[in-house]
Amino acid sequence: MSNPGECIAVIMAAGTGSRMTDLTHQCPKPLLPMGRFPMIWYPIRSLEKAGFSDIIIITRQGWHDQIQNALSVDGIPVRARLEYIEIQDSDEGGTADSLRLIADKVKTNVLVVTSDLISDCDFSELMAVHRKHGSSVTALLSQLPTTLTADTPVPGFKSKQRNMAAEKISIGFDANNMEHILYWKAQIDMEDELIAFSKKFLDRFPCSRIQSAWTDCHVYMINKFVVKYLQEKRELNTIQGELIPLVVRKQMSTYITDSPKDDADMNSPNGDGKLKKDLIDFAVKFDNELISWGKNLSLTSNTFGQSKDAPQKDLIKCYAYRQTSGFCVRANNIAAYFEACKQMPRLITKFVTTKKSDELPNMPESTSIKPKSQAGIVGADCMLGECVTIGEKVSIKKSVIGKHCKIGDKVKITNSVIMGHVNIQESSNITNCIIADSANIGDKCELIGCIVGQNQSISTMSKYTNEVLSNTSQMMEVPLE
Amino acid sequence: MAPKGKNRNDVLEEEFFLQAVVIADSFNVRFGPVTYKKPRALLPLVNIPLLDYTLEALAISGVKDVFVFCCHLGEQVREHIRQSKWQEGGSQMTVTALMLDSCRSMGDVLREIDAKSLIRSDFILISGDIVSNMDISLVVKEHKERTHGKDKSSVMTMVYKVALPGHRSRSKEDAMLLIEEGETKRLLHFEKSHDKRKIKIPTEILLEHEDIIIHNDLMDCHISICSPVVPTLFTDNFDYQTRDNFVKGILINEEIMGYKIHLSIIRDKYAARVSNMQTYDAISKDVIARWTYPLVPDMFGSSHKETIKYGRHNVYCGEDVTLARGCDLQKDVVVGRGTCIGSGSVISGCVIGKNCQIGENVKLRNSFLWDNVKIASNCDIDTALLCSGVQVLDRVIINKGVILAWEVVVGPDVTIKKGTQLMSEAQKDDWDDPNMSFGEDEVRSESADGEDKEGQEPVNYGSKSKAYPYKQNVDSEDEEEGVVLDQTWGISASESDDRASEEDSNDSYEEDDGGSEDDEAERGGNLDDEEEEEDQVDSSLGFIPSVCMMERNTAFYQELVDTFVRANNEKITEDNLTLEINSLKHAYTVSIEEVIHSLPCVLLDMASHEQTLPVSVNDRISTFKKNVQLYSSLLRKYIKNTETQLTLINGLGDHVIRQSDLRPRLPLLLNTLYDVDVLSEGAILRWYNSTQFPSVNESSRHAFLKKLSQPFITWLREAEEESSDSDVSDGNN
Repeated sequence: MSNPGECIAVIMAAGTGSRMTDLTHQCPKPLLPMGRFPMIWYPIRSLEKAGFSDIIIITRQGWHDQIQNALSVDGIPVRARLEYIEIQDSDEGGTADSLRLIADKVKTNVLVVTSDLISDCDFSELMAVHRKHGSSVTALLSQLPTTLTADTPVPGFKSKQRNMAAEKISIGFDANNMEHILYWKAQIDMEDELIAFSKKFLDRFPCSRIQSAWTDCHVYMINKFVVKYLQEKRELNTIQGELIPLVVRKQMSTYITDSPKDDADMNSPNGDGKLKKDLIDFAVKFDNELISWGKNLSLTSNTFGQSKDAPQKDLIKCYAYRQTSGFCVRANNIAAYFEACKQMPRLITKFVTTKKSDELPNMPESTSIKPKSQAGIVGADCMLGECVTIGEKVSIKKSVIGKHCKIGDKVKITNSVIMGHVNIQESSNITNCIIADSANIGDKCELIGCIVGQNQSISTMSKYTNEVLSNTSQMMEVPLE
Repeated sequence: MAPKGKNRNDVLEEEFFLQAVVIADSFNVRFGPVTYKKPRALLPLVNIPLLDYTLEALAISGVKDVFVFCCHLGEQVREHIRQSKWQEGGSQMTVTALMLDSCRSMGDVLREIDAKSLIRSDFILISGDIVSNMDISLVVKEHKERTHGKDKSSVMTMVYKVALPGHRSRSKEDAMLLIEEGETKRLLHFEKSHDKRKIKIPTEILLEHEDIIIHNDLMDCHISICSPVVPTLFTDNFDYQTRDNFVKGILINEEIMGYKIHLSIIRDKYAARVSNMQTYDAISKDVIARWTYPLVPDMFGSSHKETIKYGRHNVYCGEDVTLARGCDLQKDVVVGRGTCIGSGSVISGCVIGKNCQIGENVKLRNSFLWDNVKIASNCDIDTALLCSGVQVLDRVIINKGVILAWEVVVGPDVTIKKGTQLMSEAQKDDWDDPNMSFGEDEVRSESADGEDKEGQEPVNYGSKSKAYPYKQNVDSEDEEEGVVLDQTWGISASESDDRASEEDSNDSYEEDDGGSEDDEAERGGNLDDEEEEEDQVDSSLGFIPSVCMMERNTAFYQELVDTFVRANNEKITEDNLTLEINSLKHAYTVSIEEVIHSLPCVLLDMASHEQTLPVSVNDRISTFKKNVQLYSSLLRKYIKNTETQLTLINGLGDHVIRQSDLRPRLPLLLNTLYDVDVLSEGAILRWYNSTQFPSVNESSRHAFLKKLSQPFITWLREAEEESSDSDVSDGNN
């Protein structure tokens, strides 16, 4: 049992899910149900498919047991060996801080995966890109699913969609090799009216293509030397926000070999640490370990035939695997979570092997449907959990329903996500909603575009549109009838 | 139904009448003395006038109707067209020459077109000095599809060719940054980039467009397809002088006028403009190497009723060529009709015109000889342009980048320095610049005056010579556009070579420098006493501070400070100031290194010049900053390459060592110079990292300066992490 290429895999599962509003109030984000499995199962599965058998999961303090319990429930197939590392609750660290915890384990590369990635992407493709180019950092980029546009109604928000541009990143690629990342800047950081490009950059990469339609999936293959650098640079907190842009920029670094020796002398006695080692120094050290002469003999140098100003060596390289087909969503906000859940009926076959998919139909045998409820009312684009009870004349379309739900007679559920142990009583109409665990919806309720928090009871005859119904807001907003 | 039928007619008509507008004037003086007697469009490129290449390119593309607009020396162009094959019966293409003596720019020409309403449909706008084998009609089609289809607002499609930075046929002054919208090929941003270290683009381009392509890999072919509205737009905006003005105007006013410009990028065809000597050279070589097929000498010559034989190693020979036994045409040589080459002559990479006579044992490399050139025996000519009727007498050595204009005679037994440009008549004050039929005569003659004074010292071009130096006039028109390039042909090529081999030459350069330092160390005692005392106080430096890189000529220095102060007070223009500095240099017989060495110190000392009281350091620094800003372009004139930059840094270093109160400010001073692009980070880091010194004193001096400049170097190295304004900033370390 070993991982491909001695690469270690890390799942970052320490995020609190602050953008998920009240859904994560009582449930850790990695354990939010998605289809039949908790969210974190999907990245584990993706890694398993890519051949990983040892996976490190970095979680928050106290989540360890919860996650372990959730994953050890029967029917959840996990074959990889999972190792848990907890970070202290008091640490408000980012992903880069988490990565530092496991820095010593990195032998060659580390594959960092976020716990909220729902994707049918093959990580081995990403690793292939990484190896092909001798990359320092390789990122997984994907185009947003076409169904997830600004017009998609999102539960709990009156406005159709929050500002999507806020998360957009302008990513520049080398037009001759679109896998090569040259530029990386979040659009939210573009405050100045002008953006400067140095002549040196333009001479070295004469034709670059900047696109902002890509989503960074927070899956990175990171070389050992970058991790080592990260260990020294304590001020870097996040991988996406700080480390990646830095590495992309540092590609322009040139290493001057005849750097004077007294630099080191000047540095050590003073002890100011002013001349902190730069990323390029790590890259050089790493490069020296390789058979660098072989590289020098190669005629396929990237700088061949280009401006003479270009440095002779490309030591830091940043590439991307661009997923153009398939599905890839980071369920880090309501809209994406909602979308990913609704895609589950279709996607589940990509995560469970074909043999098992027979055992896991979208409607398990344990579903009990009252005889009068005609077949076909539960659409093929739906997915039901185990032991769901469905009443008469129920219509369920484009929805995902968790285990042990009870759905009363004449209930209509359209385009909604319903988690486990939810009780929906007669004649309710639920459209575009997310209903969290153990909620109780009364008779003849009409909920459109709402989020119902855990253990909520919605009284009969209630009508809500685009609201968040949870503990905190209930006090003020839900009138007692 | 009637309108539909009419539309179809329109389309038919347009297809039948593909029109082209050829601007047979460049409105600049890049070719120096050469275009004095002949317009650029008629200069021979591989023995065929440039205009013929352009017309042939249009004929290949199926153009039916060509208007050639002649401005400077237009009569010659008209005569040329009158005698060309296009005037013969059965010619597919009608070529009409129009004289527009009054036009001073391309904008004027287009306004004239609008006034005469010559154009009815989309037309090709092309400069008269293009060599191209592409089918322009494909681009016209592309343009038409766009304008008749989804994007009716497109007014122009510009043709660009892929050429990486540093490509030899890419004219440096045309270097530009283009931003193209990914799918639509629409031009979003256009910026000349040749003199900038950083190029700033508006953020909104990135925010508003999901997919953009930033091109620094294109060269302008000066071919564009224009909608009929373009001449009207030139009329409406009378400030548009050039096509670049127009493009910028359209882009800026895109929201108001709603017009768009698109790009067409060619990869596998050839199209390039002869815009200066460097491109003339490169394109000639391309023609010889048959990149421009079918526009190659052996095929194209036949249209000029000549038979040219094509041999191995790209050697082309016309009829009646006499090659003496033992002469060697190595490779890439074109020899025109009736030329004689004497024995023992070695020729490579040359174009030789008709009826030339080349003596014995002549070495010719990378040179261009036009018709009726006579070269006597035992000459050595490298990278030179010899116009028609030039005579080079015995044993003349001509160095790189020399241009001998019409009928110049040089020799015997002389060496022509590199970059020399000679004409056969003296340049007169009232000389009516033939290439600039436009105004600004006063400014020009004035500066020419100054140049003449400076160049009074008689230069010997041989006892039988008939040669007068040509000074390039300050072309005010160009300066407005900021495209003045000081580089001349041949020299610029070697300069870029220098840049390329910077790393290699690094060591040797510093050794050279070291040699002179030794000398100076001996004479180091001549410094100002005051300053010496100051230095002696600070003996903790660990070296003798008087060991400066260069001894200062006090009288010269004082005069230089006075000059600058006067220039500042009297608001003397930069050009005149340059002249004054140059004359000072001659008067005191100091080297150019010393001038550069002194410049930063002068800018620092200007503050303390007039006041009798000592001026505070802060005042001096702020004056320095102000002055550097003010004179940055002047500094850049002197400081062009890394070597001069190193000299400048050393000058600054010396000054700082002399004046201890400035020592902590060294990083600030360096930064100021760095900010105005006088110093490049490469030079600074090279200086910082230089390790070889001739003496212990030298190296300890360097170590001391290094220590002083440490904060700035650290900042420079970490600039990319800390600088917030530059996103893709320069590499460090």
